Amino acid sequence: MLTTAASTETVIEAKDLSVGYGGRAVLTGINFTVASGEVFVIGGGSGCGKSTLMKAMITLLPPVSGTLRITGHDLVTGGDEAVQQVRRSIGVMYQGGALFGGLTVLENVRLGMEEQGLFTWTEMNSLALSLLAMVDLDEHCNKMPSALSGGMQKRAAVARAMALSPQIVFLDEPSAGLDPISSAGFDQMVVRLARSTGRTFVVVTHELPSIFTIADRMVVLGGAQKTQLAIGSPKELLESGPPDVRRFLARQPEDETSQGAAS
Amino acid sequence: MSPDVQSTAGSTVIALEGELDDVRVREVWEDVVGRARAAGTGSVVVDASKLNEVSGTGLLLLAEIRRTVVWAGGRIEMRGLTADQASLVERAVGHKPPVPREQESQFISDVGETAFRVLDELADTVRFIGEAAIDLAYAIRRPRSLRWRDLLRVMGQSGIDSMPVTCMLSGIVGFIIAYQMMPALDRYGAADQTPTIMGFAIIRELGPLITAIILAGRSGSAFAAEIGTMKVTEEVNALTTMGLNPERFLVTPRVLAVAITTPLLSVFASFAGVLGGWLPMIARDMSLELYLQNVRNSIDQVDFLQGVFKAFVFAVVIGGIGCRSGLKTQVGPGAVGASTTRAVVAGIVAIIVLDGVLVGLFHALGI
Ligand SMILES: Nc1ncnc2c1ncn2[C@@H]1O[C@H](COP(=O)(O)OP(=O)(O)OP(=O)(O)O)[C@@H](O)[C@H]1O
Ligand SMILES: [Mg+2]
Repeated sequence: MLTTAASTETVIEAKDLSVGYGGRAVLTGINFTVASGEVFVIGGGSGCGKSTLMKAMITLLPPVSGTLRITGHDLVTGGDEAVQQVRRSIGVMYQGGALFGGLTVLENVRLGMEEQGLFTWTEMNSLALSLLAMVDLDEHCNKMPSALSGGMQKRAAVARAMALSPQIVFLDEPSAGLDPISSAGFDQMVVRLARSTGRTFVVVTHELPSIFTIADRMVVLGGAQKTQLAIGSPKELLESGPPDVRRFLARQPEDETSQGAAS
Repeated sequence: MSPDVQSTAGSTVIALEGELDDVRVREVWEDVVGRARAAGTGSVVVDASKLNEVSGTGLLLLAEIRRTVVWAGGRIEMRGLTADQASLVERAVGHKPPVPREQESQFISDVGETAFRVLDELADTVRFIGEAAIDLAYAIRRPRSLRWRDLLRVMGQSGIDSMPVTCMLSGIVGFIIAYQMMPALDRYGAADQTPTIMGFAIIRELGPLITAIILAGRSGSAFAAEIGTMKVTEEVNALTTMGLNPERFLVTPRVLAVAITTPLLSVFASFAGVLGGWLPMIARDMSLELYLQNVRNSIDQVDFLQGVFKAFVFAVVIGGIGCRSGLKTQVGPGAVGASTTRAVVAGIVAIIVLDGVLVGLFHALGI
């Protein structure tokens, strides 16, 4: 199993965090920290609130209560200023890629840099090309997103997410809709990017093979109350986690009888 | 054929026999379920041991019986099912469905609620358009911040591409108005005043209005659909987390584009309308030169500018409503369509109401 990165700087800190919609919590009691350079997985069954937690971390959904600090900026008390700061330090790959349909792959990656205005045109182009090379898409740089396969779109989206040198890269369900081989390839790419760039990756997924390949540590969400069930490396959790978590990681459904009894 | 049912005090036994296939199920459903319901909180025994074969729908019938009895608070026993069948039927009991909300006597509160929602929407739309106008002013002062490619594309679509249909419609409307007006004017022997009426009606009013209606149908809807789709595919979220303001990024170029093209288009539309009005005059032997001369004499620059100004205001309002509608797109398969419809309807309503307001305003200002 992969070892945790040497650096111990905390980039994400959640304390007694509740997240939800319109002030109503759907997920409560979240407590974890993510160290710089880690690949951290948010796992759990369908509907347990993974996407909701991620939306809160990427500033699209204000937390309901508790503390949520991303790269030192508190999203609960920090107001708009903190939100802007956090946006500057993160990159997000959305589930379907969310590439801008009117722009080529290269332009998608370059867009953030253009708006940032730090680099010259030539610099931006070569930066974007290097990023695309890191995800094996440099030869497709001038295609429109619609001309790429789903997996390629996601890889391009990863390149775009990494364009502004974010401290944390968020990946939303990277394996969803990919065949097992592409999915394994994607996982390998994530590990490679994480190791080579030293960035922190936060990955939302419920694919067990992915979890075991990429995760340094993970938090498992779930339960009747929708809360945090366990935190640790996947291996630890599989061996000595709470029963629910072991069942999730070992891919065992709940007891037939216990499900039938629920009324 | 019909099921054998015996009811004793507090206990109903439903014995099913023979084949329980789809046809049979339909025949006995009402009867059997009705009896199960009639049992109330009593106990019901379903005896399936004499059934030869139970089809999928047969199991659904058994499940329905079970559900009916369980939800009514009664006790049920099923006899003669295999273990698999029994477990399937048991599972189907599920949760009690939520009681549908009371529908009656909500009329007044509904009306109130709707009124508040409409007012809210209106206030929000006005705020949105105001913000769009501020962004517009900002973009004009700092042209580098503008998405030029979007701007030029939308200018092409809303300007050049709209030209034929707008001019054609306006020309036809001009023709119709002149044609309908002439008999009325003839009564006063004033048919030669038609050019005057055309000048006022088309240049001050109908040219801008027709242009705006086409704009709502073509560009307002396109904005809502484009931005709505981006919302659904999370592209709007992607912009937001990249620190790029979706309003400035998506709304400004579109609204600016129509704010530039619509006044121009409106001038063309007005001209086409005036020309259309000349066609019935041919029968009266009025030459085009004379007709245009009369139209020209009947209006002044202020009338002309009033039409152009209206077109500009309409463009900002329709563009703003279209974009806002796109950004408000909800999730789900029909969401983009709903946004598009809303953009067109709200846009057309808004410009016609606004036109009335502007007429009042110009009148008050003595223009
Ligand atoms: N926009 C919303 N408004 C209100 N409640 C919502 C909204 N979106 C999701 N929820 C609720 O929040 C809970 C968690 O949903 P969420 O989408 O975060 O789950 P998830 O873990 O991502 O599931 P999946 O693996 O299926 O994507 C669900 O019970 C859902 O009903
Ligand atoms: Mg999800």
